[in-house]
Amino acid sequence: MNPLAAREEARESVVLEPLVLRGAPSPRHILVLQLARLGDLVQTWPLLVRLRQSYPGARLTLLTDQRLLPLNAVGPQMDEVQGFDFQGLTSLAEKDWPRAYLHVAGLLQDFRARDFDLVFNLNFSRLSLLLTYLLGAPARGYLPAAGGRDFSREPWLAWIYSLVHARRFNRFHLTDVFRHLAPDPAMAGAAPAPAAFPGGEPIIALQLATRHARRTWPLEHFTRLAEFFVSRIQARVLLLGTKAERGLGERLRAALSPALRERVVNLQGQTGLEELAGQLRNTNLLVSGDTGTLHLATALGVPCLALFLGPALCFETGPYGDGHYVLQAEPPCHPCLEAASPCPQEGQVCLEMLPPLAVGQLVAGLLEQGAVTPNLRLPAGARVYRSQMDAFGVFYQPLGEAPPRFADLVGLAYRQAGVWLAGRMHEFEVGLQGPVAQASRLCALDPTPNHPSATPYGGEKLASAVIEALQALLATLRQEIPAPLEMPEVAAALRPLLAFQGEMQRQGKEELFFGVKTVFTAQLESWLNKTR
Amino acid sequence: MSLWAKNLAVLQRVAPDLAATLAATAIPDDHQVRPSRLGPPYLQVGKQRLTSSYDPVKEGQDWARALEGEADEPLVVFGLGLGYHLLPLLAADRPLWVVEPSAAVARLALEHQDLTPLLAKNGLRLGSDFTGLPRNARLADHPPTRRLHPGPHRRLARFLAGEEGELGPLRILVISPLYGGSHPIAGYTARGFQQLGHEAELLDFAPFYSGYQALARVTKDQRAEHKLKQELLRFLGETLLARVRDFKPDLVFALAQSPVAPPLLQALKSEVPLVAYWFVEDFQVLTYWQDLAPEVDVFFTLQKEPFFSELKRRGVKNYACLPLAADLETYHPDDLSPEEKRRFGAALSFVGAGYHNRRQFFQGLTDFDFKIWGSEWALNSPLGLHLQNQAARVSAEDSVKIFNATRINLNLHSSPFHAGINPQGDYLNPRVFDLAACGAFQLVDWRSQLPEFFTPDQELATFASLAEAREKIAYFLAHEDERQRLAAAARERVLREHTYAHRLAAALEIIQDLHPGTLPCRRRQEQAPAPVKASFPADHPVQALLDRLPEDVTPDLEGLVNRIKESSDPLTEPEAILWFLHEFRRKVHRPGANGGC
Repeated sequence: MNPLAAREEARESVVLEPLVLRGAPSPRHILVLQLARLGDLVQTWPLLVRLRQSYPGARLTLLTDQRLLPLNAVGPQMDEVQGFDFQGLTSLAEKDWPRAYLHVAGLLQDFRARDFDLVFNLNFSRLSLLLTYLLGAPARGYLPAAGGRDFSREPWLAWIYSLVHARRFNRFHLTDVFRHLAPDPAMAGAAPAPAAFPGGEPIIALQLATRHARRTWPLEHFTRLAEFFVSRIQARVLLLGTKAERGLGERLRAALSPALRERVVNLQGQTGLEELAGQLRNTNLLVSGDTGTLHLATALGVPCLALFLGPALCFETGPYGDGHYVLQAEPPCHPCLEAASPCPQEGQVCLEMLPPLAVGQLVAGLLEQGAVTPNLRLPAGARVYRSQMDAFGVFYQPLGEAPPRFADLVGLAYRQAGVWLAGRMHEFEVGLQGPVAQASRLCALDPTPNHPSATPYGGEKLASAVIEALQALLATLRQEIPAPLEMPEVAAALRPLLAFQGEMQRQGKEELFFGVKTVFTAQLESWLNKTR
Repeated sequence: MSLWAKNLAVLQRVAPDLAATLAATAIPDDHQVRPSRLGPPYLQVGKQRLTSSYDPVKEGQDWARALEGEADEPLVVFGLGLGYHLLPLLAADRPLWVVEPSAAVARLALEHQDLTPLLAKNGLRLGSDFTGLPRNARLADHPPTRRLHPGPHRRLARFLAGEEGELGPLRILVISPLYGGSHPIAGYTARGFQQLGHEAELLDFAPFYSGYQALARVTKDQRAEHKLKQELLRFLGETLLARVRDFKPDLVFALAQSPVAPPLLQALKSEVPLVAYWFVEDFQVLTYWQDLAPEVDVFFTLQKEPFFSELKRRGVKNYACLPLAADLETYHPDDLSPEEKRRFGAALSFVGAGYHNRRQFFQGLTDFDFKIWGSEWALNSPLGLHLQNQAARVSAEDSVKIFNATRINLNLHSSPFHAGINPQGDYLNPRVFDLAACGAFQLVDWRSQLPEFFTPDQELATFASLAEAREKIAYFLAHEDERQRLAAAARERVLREHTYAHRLAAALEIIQDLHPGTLPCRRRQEQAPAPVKASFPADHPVQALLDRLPEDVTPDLEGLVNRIKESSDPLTEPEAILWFLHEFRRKVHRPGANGGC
């Protein structure tokens, strides 16, 4: 057997057979691989903070896209940040691959010499998978399997991935998904709370583009919003974005009257990452879709109003931290699949569900009264959420009249089950030592929810259709019968659980499935009991 | 003898092709030559003065004096202007070449300056013809020309520095419409790119056309039919995206009428570095360009003004004129059998659809031996006797036979608005190029762009009225030798300047000028580096992998990794590194957003 395969086998037994690892020594040198984009890197920062707290003695190294290195200055303190030169390697692999080979072999030697004893692979990509495999150290996150040819998700990620089967029930934020890969140090401080909304002449930043047309609020709406900000609340407006997006800002400005235009500054393509951070720090509020800029702003403690539509779901990638706001379009087809293809609906309905006037009034209320205007009118199917943190992570509290829906309740019950699983995983993975032990043991003792609950649905009156669906779901769970045909939402609600069951059977860890199912069922039952 | 005649005489001796081009060049209205304050003429192009309007002679002397360097150092000047700045250099007999990007400016310079010392040494180059320019020569710019033509200047500078870094081979996906006149052009376009050495592929939507037509028979409810058709077009958009994700082109090149709506173009832009659109239509007849032009990276047109002003008014910046051309594989001279000559031949023929203006105009030609081929003609009309084959569609192969068998091929540009000739007609239809490529004689209605492409009366005959058409038909029927001379000259011109390969090379230059650095410069296969085995030490583990490759597999990264993927053994270190490198080749090196969760 070749040495690498031997190492692979050793790792399989280390990582995937938890009992062997009980009482294992704390890691001394940790490598975190985050090779994706700006937003993903920023959403990894809370994990890095938590690793520092959980393993105060360990050396922390981050490998990230070289183009994101300027962010070091504003990100959490690392012992070492190494840039990965995608462009250089791409061009070398194209022009002279043997030289590229020797280059990579050299890099690898250099990495191995540093003797990492724990690698966090956060990207579902062949590239970081092969890198993780080549490093040969114990790993967390996406794990190499089948001799480096395939992926395996550790149970925590398998759980999150199960929810991909029915995204509208997903209540796990990407930041928390990453963060709970590390054991809970039982310390607060996952994200900075945004600064209060100060008085005086407000400066409002607008991020106009997102990566996909389907989740981009229309430019005409941004134009009307900028108009509103300048004329109604005498704000100065900064337009943020890349050089490629600069045309958008210019079109926006061209549509304003000269007097208004003077107050709107286009910084698109003129800020490096560090300057972008600087500009964000000076703004009172950022309005943005699901973008890297949004995540950077929340990490810097800048108050944000996020406009989420199409495939963007705030529960997954909304502004992270306490006290941000989200306007989320939730038409019946929401959330759509993240495909770059155009919307199949004639005229994407969610584009019109966040009217610029309402967005403007919301911001005016926040800046002037520090609260959401009480008589805010939104089209049916749009909701305002306020972000809040509990001991597990972020959740989004709907404001105004928002009676709990079936998907809300199922989603929260899944969240509670995930809370249990996350705690349980660390008992499995890391062993019970130091501050880690307390929190983990709490979760591990019995499968009932133990973190302070995120649920806003303590005892509100539930609609009868919701109660019926919950009862049908519970009956299906208890009696292990098929979901009733006439209630497709019940079958949909079960899909994540079934997917997780299948994966845990494959991994030989069915007890984790039973635990999760117990918590999920108990949570739903407790809500139903309260309504009686 | 005028300056022009004097210069031209020299040029005809040294560079007859260039002389012919300049002799045929028309001067656009925005090129103005006027007397300067001190007398000698100065030149203004649009808003840009190419010479001083006060004292162009002194300005030229100052420019030449400011040039330093050895007197015998070869010098390439970018920009002819009116030649004032060259006179001191020519007087000093410096080794000199001049590259002028604009034919119109070159012609004006030759009309207003004695440049015979330059021309006699074959020192003038036009456009991107850099043949014979000495590498590593010093480049001196005529600043106003450089401002007008930054792209050609950049190319010249790179050429002289020996780093022209020919583009490609690029991966180009050409998108065809479901049917219609632009469908064959899509095929020619893909072939043209291939002839330039690029990896071009045609995404042909024609197979979906019968399905599209079938929808019309499904329901009588027009709204329902419209909805169904929209659904089909959306589906075709998905097909396109799927092909794009698979093929991973550097450039998507869509033809007019192809099923790309603005939302799809937006989606496409997040997948492809560059999206170009070739609007081979009359912008005043079909107006859907208004929605498309702002959504693409480069919008190619057949027409210039006033289309350009319209585009500018709508905030579109990246547009350029890209005329049609000829596909030599389809259109060529043909030896016909006597039977074919009889069947397809006539004194006068026309191939094309029965547009309103043609139905009117051709009624004035019914006394000739006149055959009309093509569809959309009314059989029951004064032209009925002349219609061939029950006015069925004509294949490209048959067109070639008709063109070759006919003594005078009539070409009348279509118009839904005019009774005969469109007096404002500007661009040239494909037939102009197709006929010329076949070496067939053509009589074509006058178009304002015509002199840019063919020399009237030298390469083809033109008419501006029915009377003139009748007169020329009679004349050329009586003068077979002249017909043959013109037709042969037209084919020569096509081979020299008007093939799709010429056109698409120009398109790529325009794209590079508008988006510098976006198209990758790849190494061509034939310039492959040293053999792979020699790149690794003899005892390197990659050697063993290379040795194990079957003989029919190329010993490169692609071959190695395909082989590695076929196995199911645990990856060895060299295997894992090779696969890792291959991921960069596939351009999937950015791990997906959201960590793939």
